[in-house]
Amino acid sequence: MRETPTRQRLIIDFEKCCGCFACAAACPEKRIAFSDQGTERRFSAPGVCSGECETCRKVCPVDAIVLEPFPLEDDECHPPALTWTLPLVRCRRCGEPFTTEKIRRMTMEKLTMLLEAPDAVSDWVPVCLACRRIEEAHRVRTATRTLPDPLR
Amino acid sequence: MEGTVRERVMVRLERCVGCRSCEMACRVAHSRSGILRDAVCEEPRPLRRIFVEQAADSPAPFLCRHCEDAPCVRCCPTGALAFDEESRLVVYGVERCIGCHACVMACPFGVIQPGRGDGYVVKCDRCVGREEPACVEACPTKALVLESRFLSERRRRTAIQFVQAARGGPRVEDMLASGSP
Repeated sequence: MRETPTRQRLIIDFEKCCGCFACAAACPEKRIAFSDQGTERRFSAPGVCSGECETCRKVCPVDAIVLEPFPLEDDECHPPALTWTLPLVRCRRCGEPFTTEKIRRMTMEKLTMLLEAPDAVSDWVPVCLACRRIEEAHRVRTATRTLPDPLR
Repeated sequence: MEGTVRERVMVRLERCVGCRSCEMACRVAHSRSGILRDAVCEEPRPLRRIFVEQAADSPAPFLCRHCEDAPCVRCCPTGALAFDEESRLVVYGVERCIGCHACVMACPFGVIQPGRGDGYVVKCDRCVGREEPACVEACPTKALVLESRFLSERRRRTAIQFVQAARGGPRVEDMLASGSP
């Protein structure tokens, strides 16, 4: 009889991973790490993870994580640590990298599908947060200049 | 039902002088201690939910508009962000949030930001437990006002103008034609 495994092998589908770092944020032991370097987001995760925890698999919005039981006594072959990178995109306005290319594409697709005005989506999704506010500030200013002050 | 609706904050752009008092008040209101003296030393630093941006030379404050059919709510895969029919606000439930930042990407106004410390994202909660949000309270020029006050003030102005017209000022028709009140 085999004893119940208390370790799990971490299998990540790099093709599916969108680079949102929900897993890194959720991991109670902070074993999944990421950092943005230049125009890449680099991830690292252990090949084998201890315990019964399934947090990372549960939180992944694209179901890219699979956890497989890994026998305790199998110390000979140790699956290597996982590393993968995802390209970042630059803000259309300021040129700073702000999210992964995949997340931008997914947000575009999702919003185009959900909103009635599909063309409007490209107005803000390729722009970083601070630039969205600045662009909106300019739009609002332009709009209010042509209207009379409601309180005067 | 009536009475539980939380009034939204209106922005009177023409009054904003860009002093950023609202940003400071927001940070303090969302700090652990709740007072300025201790908030400045807190780690992680308390984040603001309101942003004063400069458009050309004119400042413009931005905060969550609590949209009825919001892109952030639609993009949230877990329902952590939801439109609360009772308070008429977009509320954030941290316990459901997985931190995928789909809402951050979806918001057209860039007012949902990645969080530090407690909560994965940070957005305006219209100051839970306060009748008047901290930003409205702090605004020295009353550029930020609550909906009801905005409307009542507008009615008052209109009434004044009609009275003036009745006393021999410009004709009401001329006032309406010029776009004011």
